[in-house]
Amino acid sequence: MSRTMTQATTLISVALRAAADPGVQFEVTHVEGVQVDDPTENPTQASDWALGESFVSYGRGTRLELRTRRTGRAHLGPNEAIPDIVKRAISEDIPVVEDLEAAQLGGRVTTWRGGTSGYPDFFFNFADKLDILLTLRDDDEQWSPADSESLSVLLSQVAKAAGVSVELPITFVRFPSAGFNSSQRLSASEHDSDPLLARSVSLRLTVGLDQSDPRARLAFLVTLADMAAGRYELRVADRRFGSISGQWVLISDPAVGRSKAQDAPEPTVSTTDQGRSRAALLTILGPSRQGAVASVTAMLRTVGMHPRAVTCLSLHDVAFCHFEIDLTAKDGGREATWTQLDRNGNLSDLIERLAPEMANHRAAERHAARDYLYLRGNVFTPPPGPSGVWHPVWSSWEVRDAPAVTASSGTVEQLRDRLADHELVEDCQPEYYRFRRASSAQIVERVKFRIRLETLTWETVQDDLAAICREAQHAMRLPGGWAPPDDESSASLPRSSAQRPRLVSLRVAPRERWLGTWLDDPR
Amino acid sequence: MSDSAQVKHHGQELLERAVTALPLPTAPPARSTRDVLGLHLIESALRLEHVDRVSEQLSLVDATHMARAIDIDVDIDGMPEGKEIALRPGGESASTQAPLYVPIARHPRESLGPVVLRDGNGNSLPRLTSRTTNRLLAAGMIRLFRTLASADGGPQSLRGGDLVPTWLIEAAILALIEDGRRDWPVIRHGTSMAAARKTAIDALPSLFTNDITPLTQAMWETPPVKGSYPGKAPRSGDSPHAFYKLLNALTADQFIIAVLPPNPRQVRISYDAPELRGNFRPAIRRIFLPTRDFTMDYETRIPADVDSFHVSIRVPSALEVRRFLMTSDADTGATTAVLYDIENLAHLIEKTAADERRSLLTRSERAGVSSRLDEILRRRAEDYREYQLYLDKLRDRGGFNRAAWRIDKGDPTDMTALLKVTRGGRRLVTMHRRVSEGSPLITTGDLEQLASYGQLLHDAGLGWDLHVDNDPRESAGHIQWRRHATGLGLQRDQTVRAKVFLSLSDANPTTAWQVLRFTVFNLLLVMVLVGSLWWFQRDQAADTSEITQSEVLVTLLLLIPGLLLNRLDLAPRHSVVSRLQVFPQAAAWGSILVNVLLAVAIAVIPANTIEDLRIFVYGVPVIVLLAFVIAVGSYTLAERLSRRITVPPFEVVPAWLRNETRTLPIHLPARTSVTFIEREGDVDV
Repeated sequence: MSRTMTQATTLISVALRAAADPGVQFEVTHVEGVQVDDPTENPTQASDWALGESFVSYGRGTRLELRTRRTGRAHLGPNEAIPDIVKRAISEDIPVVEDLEAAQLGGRVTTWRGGTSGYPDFFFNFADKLDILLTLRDDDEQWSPADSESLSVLLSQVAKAAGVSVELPITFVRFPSAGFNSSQRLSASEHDSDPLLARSVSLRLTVGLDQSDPRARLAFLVTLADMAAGRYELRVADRRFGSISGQWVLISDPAVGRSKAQDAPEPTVSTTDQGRSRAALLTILGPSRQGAVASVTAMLRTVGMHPRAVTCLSLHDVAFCHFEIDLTAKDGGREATWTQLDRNGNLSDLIERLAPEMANHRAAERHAARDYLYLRGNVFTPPPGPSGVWHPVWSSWEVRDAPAVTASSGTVEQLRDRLADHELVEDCQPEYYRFRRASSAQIVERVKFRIRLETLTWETVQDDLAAICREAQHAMRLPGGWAPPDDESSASLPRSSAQRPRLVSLRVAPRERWLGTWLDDPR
Repeated sequence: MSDSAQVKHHGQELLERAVTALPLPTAPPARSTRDVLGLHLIESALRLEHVDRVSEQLSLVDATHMARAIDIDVDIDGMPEGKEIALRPGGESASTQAPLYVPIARHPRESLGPVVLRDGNGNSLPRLTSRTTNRLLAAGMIRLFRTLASADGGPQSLRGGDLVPTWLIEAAILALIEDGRRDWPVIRHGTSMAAARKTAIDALPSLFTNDITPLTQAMWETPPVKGSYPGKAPRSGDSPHAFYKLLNALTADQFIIAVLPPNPRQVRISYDAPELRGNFRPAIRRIFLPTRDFTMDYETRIPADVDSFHVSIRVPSALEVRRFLMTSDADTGATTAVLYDIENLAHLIEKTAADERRSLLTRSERAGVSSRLDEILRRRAEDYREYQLYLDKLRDRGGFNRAAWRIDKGDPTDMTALLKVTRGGRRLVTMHRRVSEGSPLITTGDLEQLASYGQLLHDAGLGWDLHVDNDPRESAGHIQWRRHATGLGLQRDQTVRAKVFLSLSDANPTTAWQVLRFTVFNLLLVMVLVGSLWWFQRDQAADTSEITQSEVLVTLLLLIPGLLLNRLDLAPRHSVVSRLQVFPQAAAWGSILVNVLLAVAIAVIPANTIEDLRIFVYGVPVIVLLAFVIAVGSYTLAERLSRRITVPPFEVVPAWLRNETRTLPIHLPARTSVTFIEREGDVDV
């Protein structure tokens, strides 16, 4: 429960949700060692989940797919009953998961299906949000276990500062995320407030703000500024009138105050050969609660599991914390421990296995950990990271009068092909993509691509990117430029022209903030 | 602000009293089974997403009653996904042609008369009876209570095998909403209170708490990290729980629910809302008001999704609309956020005077505060410009002479300079327009200075915007309210409080002049008659004709003013016009009274009485009448002068606007006008 209990309509909508939608069904897919440019390794999942939300994220040679839906009458198909696994979760009041053995791609794909009773006790209502961007170092060329360790330290510190010290809920975490190159950093120009790199060693974090505690935002920022001083580059979303998310202001420059920032521990550096690096995927899921991300990251750090990539977000009141764990350990025995773990289970079991010395934590805390599940992937050798300089491209759109049953409108693939076909573009890959069915006939999608240019000239890169995006957007918007998703379920039915799927408000932009003008709702 | 947590919300008090007073139930209270429909109705009634446009036509019935004809444009397609099905009794299984329950408004139960809803063609529309409505809403609130009781962190005491405490709370909710009972006896059970009742009362605080239950934060001890986390920030929003606010609103208000067919999708609904009663103000206090007008204000709420809101007023032709304004709190949230940010900035500067690590943060915070403050001030300057244009229009109508807008010397460059020039907020908005363009408002400032900015901005009430009559007319007015196209970083679709201010004057200002002329004539008459009587009595010591002379005098003293008084137009006693003329009327009647007393004295006192008494009898009336003439004269003069006041100095008018032309000292509290309030406390939507 949280402070929004002071707002009547939030309270009622939570009660209505609890009344109408008992339980949430989810599906988590891990794909390891994926070459994203190979279309055969990116099978589009056919789905019959009429109303749901999904998130696909590409890590360092991995892919994560999350899909959720409520299991209320309004979100199930006409002849569907509440799935058994959700019924079980509701009756046992803990999330339940089952492991589906998948033979796709030589066993590199693992899918879990599960259900939870839904958590309508997370009543936070955001009046506003705060985005921060922390850059660890300049380039993303070489990843070493030392970086994993510093990321682990940084992540747990930031999550604690937000989730515990000032009690602000963390709604989104992503690493690596879009960042700034060194030349942009030197110029203090207003026009360089947008990231030019699709991937940098940057941690992006979003916390929700409400009006009940006006001091929390600044208290959090002060903590971060002190923490980052001399070590990291810290940027926050611009708070000036007319600014929207994606416009960054530099708060802490590593060059400033380096001498004073000796109070935070430096990561213990261990050098390991890049080629021998081993990794595994780990997803932790459970109720979206205040401090959940902070606890999970603190736990990982305590048991010595350091991530290479992180994605945390909440879909349908279920928090998903997804990590790509670096298993290249100092002592070398971690990989063996990992493979002995159950493929999925309770979080408290995971802690017991990984850190037996911590097993005697208090009963109340064990009870809280009982609500969280872990899903463990196989150990794999990460493929080498993509070479060259990649630039970000954001896009969002709506599909109206969409077919009743589809998990994807196919627009991502079409847009990707359009961008890749451009003469200036050498390669185009998705970074993440989010799909949401706002209503039975309306799909909202948002995607971030990374593109590599044929020839990179830093002086003209902004113009080149703008031109590429503009052309792709025009081409998609032209009549016939967009192919509506196939709808097998109703193909035989005669449809009037008014009911054909339409692509609405498509935007393709090299800047995140151009997706919505600042006239839009800040959320 | 922490003190406010100690004060019980009215809804909380109601529930506690009901739980204390009701008999212990032995079975679950009988309630409607359509509880989810009830919850949907409450949600829909609070948000009114399907209402596109509201227009209210106000008319003053008398000085303390106001009638309202309300037109509402309902768009069923404006409902969120799934709401239409949810508001159909029978839900999904009902036919798609089944009618919908559509909440359209709520009005105080105590002033409720029969409400007849009509559509655009004038046909009457069915509406749910208040009994059915309240049964549904009570069932919804019980559902809400059950959700809270079963949520994580809810009270354990209600989960045992004994269901009586739960039934008792449910019965209390039913009694409050279904019966609308707001008056409960205070019963002190002392130690003899039944265990079930005690359990129920003890469970309430943990049931309706705003505190977070941090379930996971202490799960794992992290290795101690050096570095300073700030201590837990103090919470300032100790607002009462939404359940109490809802309970209070549902007990006090009657929800009006129309039964509409699903087609047509757009309907216009008109109805006459119950009359509002204004607070009564003794006439004598009005004499001391700086304006001679009859002033009233009316407070209403604009639903969250309404884009356009109209208020029009029509007054009897005997009255003239002097000012017609509306102010709304649309920017209050943004202003409060800026004020908090200024406060935060002050603390940040105080703590980190020389800390280089936070210099960039301080700079960006300054820029953020400055730019938003600048936008707020720019909007107010725009409003002020509109107000000036409005006054120009009034002048063209011939209402009054245009006042000179004075502007102080000095060119402020930032907030500190502005503060020096504006002296307590005086002409803050116009002075801001002269701040050097492009320079941020807040560039410097220590703790004290920033605190004084905050105080100044708070006192100026910058969050209240201004809307003026778009076409000033003699006996009618119309104001349109629109949302700002750009938000100030806060949610746009919020419920807005709006206050309408109306200042009425006598359309026939000669009434005061008539009374003045009457009193002057009466004074002259009395002086002439008394003088002549005195003269006669001095010359003819004892004559037989003296009685005849006295009779003639008495007749003249009574007859002539009586005839004159008949020629004065005096309005009905409770009308607004009579409120406006209350002082001249009193003067006219007073001078008649003086004449009567004088006539009686002349008739009674024999002519040969001692001279001193005669001087007294003849002199005092003249002095009293002279006082009347002076009083009515100065009243008339003040009335003339009050027409020159450009901004009416009333509480409803935003402080920043009053400060622009303030003639009275700034620390003097503003006056209140006759207030028509629909609801006292309200729920946050």
